[in-house]
Amino acid sequence: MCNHQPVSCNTVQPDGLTGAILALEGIEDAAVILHGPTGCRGHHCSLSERAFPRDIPDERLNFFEPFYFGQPRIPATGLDGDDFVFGAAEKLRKALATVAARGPALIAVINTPGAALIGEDLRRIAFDSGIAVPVAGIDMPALSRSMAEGYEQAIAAVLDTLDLNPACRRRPKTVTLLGLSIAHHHWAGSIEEIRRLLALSRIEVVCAPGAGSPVGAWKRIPEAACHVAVHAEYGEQLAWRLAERFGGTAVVPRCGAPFGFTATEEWLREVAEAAGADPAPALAAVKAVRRRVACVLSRITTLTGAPKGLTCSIQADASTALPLVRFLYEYLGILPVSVEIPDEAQANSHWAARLGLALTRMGCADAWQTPWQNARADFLLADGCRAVQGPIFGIPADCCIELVLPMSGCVDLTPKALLGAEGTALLVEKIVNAVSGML
Amino acid sequence: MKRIAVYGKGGIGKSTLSANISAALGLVGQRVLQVGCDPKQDSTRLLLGGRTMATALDYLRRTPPVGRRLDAVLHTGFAGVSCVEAGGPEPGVGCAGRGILSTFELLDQLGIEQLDHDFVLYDVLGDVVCGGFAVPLRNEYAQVVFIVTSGEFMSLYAANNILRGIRNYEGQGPRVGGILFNERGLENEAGRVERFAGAVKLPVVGRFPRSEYFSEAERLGKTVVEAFPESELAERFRRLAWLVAHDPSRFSACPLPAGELERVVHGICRERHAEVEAGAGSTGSGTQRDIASREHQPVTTGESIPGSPLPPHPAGVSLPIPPPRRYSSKGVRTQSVLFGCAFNGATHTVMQIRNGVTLVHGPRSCAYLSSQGVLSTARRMRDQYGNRWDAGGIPEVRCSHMDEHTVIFGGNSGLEEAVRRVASGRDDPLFVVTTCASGIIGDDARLVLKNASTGNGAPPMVLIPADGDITGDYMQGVLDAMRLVAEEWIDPGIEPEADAVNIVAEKNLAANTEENFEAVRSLLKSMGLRVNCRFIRRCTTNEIAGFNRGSLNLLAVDDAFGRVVRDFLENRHGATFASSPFPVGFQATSEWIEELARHFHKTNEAEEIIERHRAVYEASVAALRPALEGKRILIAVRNHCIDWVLETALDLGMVILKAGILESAWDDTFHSRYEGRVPFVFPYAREQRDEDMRAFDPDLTLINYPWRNMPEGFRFDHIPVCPDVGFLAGIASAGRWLRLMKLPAREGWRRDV
Repeated sequence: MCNHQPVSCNTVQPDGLTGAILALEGIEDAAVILHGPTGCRGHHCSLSERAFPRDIPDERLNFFEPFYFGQPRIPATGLDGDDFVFGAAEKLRKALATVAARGPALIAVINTPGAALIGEDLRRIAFDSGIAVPVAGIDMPALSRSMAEGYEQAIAAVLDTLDLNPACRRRPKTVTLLGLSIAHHHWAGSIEEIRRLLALSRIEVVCAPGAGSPVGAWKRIPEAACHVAVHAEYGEQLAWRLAERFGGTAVVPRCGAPFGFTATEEWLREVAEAAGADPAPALAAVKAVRRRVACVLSRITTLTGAPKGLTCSIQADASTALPLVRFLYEYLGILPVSVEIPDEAQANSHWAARLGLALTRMGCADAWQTPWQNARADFLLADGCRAVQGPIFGIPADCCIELVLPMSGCVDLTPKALLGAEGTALLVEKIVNAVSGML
Repeated sequence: MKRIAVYGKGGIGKSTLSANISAALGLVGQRVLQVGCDPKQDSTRLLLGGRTMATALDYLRRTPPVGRRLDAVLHTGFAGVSCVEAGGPEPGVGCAGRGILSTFELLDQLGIEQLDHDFVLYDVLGDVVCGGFAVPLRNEYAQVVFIVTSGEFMSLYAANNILRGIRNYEGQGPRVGGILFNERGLENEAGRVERFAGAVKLPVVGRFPRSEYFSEAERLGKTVVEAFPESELAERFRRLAWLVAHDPSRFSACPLPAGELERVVHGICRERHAEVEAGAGSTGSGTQRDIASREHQPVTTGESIPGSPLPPHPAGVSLPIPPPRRYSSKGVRTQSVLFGCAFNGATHTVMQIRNGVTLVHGPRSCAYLSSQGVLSTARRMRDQYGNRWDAGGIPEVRCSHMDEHTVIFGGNSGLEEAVRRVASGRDDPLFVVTTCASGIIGDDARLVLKNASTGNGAPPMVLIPADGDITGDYMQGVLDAMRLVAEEWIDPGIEPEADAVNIVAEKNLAANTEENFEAVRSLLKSMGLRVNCRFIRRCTTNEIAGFNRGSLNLLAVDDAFGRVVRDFLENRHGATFASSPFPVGFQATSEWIEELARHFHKTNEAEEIIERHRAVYEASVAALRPALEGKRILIAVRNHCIDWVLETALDLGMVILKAGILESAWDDTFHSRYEGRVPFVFPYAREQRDEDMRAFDPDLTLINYPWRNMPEGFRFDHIPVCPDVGFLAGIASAGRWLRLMKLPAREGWRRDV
């Protein structure tokens, strides 16, 4: 009777609700209220707590603590069946008062799918509650759409809520970094690395919305001369939106996100050009890291040549996968055997087209959208959910490198980056350590 | 029982018409139930002497499930008509459609089907604006639908929309009984209604002119049938009741396409206009021609109605009040804040069935959150206990991907497509679990699965209608999934086998569940026993089907959840349970093994096991006792069974200053074999902990998790909420207590926080 498949795999991707929640949790001094059942918050709270540790709970798993239920972030109003019928304005008012008492600079209220359907008037309830903190509301999150869409929607909602001054004078050589979320692994280190490299070229980062910047930094967004998309799926539309609203230049580097040395260099050149700065000092810093990495590689690859000749699977947004494929193929000699984009809706984007073209040029067209679990690659670079399942499909845990939403449970106390020169060095470090037995 | 729904635009008079039909049926001895599905809750007022009654939704809100009674929402009105009002939210808030769904579910749970009504009339508000208002249209509810309209355009517009709604639920054949024309006295009103009726190919089966009788009866709080039985109007209602009772013809819903309605109603449409014109001025002639072409004989109130009077029904029979049938979680039973959602609990449960696939009917985030819960637990099991992944990998979860468009326009077709996609080429069972999004919009997942499972080669399909947290908390979802799976698969014809046990109600999200299972299995194996089925964890539907092979059932945890599962399996499937759950600590384990030995006649094996572990236990106590004897401990935990801790502490000669048992989300009872020997406080207040620590100055405080601003300078240890089972559980903890007492009370890093 039974027709067992040999091994099953969890393939469900997060959607816009997760993207919105984590975008808003990425505002250092903001608080997010989830207007919905408690079941929608537990995992999101864990994600936020791991990615951006700030608060400790009064008492972990004390389910009787109103709205927080023993977790430190993302209080929920706890809608139940009655609330879906009669509305839950009073619960939300109480939650707003409880959260406002903790002194956030901004409160964001996100309707869960159920709450969105009963049409709660978030703004009116927030207004009636009389709290002094600005409240951003997301009435209908991007259900079943990509996490990136949810992120964009949330960042836009905050921009609409904060009273930013469009007449503010723009300062030269200043940028906002868009499209980085606390969902991206090592986001804080990546921001610092980009900030460091840009600072060498005298470019100042005024704000990274959704990636740790406090509300005060958001208020400086109109000053920025350039609005730079780091992860295009998340930041491209926002860059254009900010440029239109506040002036300045939208910059969407053609290389994609700055993964790998070459992409980092191209990214720096493009941003520096747009900002009217000299990229040379930043490029010199990249070169220094290149030398350091090359020195190590030249030593450890002597015996077997590895990691050259190994294979990789990548599951990532196209603007991430493109520079990663290039880096692994061109710099380390690792062959892509599976390259997947998590959201089907993005399969027709210009980034996906360029990725497909790049794979074809490499002679790896077969890799496009081949399921990673069928490819049996030596390495898997993917989100935490996929990476943690790698060992089931014969990929050792060390060879599963997390790009977003890490699940491995590792704690990072020293800053680490995945982007920029130091991020590239970390990537090489992970790869060579994972295959040290082959070297 | 005949079920009739009366739909119409708000304020059009459908409640008045429904109440009069019910009254007319009641007067001829029929047992009638009228269910008002309108938030303004006045459907049954005229049957109740002008009184308004408590609504089902208000009752649902304020009464826990175990205390719910049908007679609290069911009232008897004129002519013995039973009356229920759904009620609903204030205008502009909440979701009245969802309220209707909840009311129907409540009535089902309270066993209204068991009451022997001859007729049920559903009086439903306005358009079929969302899935909730469509509930009476679903097949298991109304068999015939009447539409009330006047000649006003908006009323006809609403009638057309209602037909559109009906068409979506016409899988089982035509269901429209006809139009009830409630006149407003407008110019050319009859012509408009007749043109509309002709265009949508329906008869006007009742026509009610404007009359002072209506307003006067309303003033008296009565139906016309009651207040003015001799009037011609009352006679019209009696005729309509006769029609209703004698199985009226049913017609397909043929709504007019958008844009055509206005032309038809105002007589502009050329083709239809010509048809209608031919019969203008005579009641329903145009309509009759359309219907005649479909070989139906329409009836209007203008015609004389032949036939015998309605058969009488024995009067004076009191309504039975059936007991509630639900197995409720603690959270649902006590109406406390819902921890987690039933959808998630149900999904996590059916994901444990290895040969099944789970389909989430809802947004992708719901499927994601649920699958992450299982994945995170698997990862923790691997990291903490070294358990390898389940050989089958991570259970498969699919999703119907409800998006903004779907939640507005309905998710039935999306679910249908997802079911087809997932079921294609598959023999294994499919479990469909519903989320709050699908629950609120009222998708008819049952119908979708029914249709999908009728094809050749379709796999078994089981619906778990969790509706997010609408049906309750996480544990309620687990319970409901277990119940539905049990009722679908457990084969009552299978006989118990002598050496087989079942494991019941393991915690699927605890990291030590596999560790505990292996420990129990090892003990069972030592006694020559085998595990037949784990209900429900890492099992197949074949194993569940053979559940009854297990001659004894072993409950994993004796908490509120475990006890409900046990009650269900005992009551519904005649299961026999061991008196204690998975044992924790030396004495509990010894007693548990002895009970198994008595049941399976394995006394020698049991003695050998116990003696072997007694030697280890006593040696461990002897080794630890010199260092721990006389040490004073304070206990402040939310575990509701801590005998294993107390046993260890007492055997080691430690002094228990106080054992405070905090309120728990998982249990509400407390029991101990040490009552009288240990100073228990139950329930113990969180606020008391700091004071007790300072007052008692214990050598060690046993807690579950530290709390903000807990007193400094005190040693504490963590007691697991889900402890490891076996003889040596307490000893393992005591070894740690000894080490903690050698260490500084406060680690250096704490000074930097």
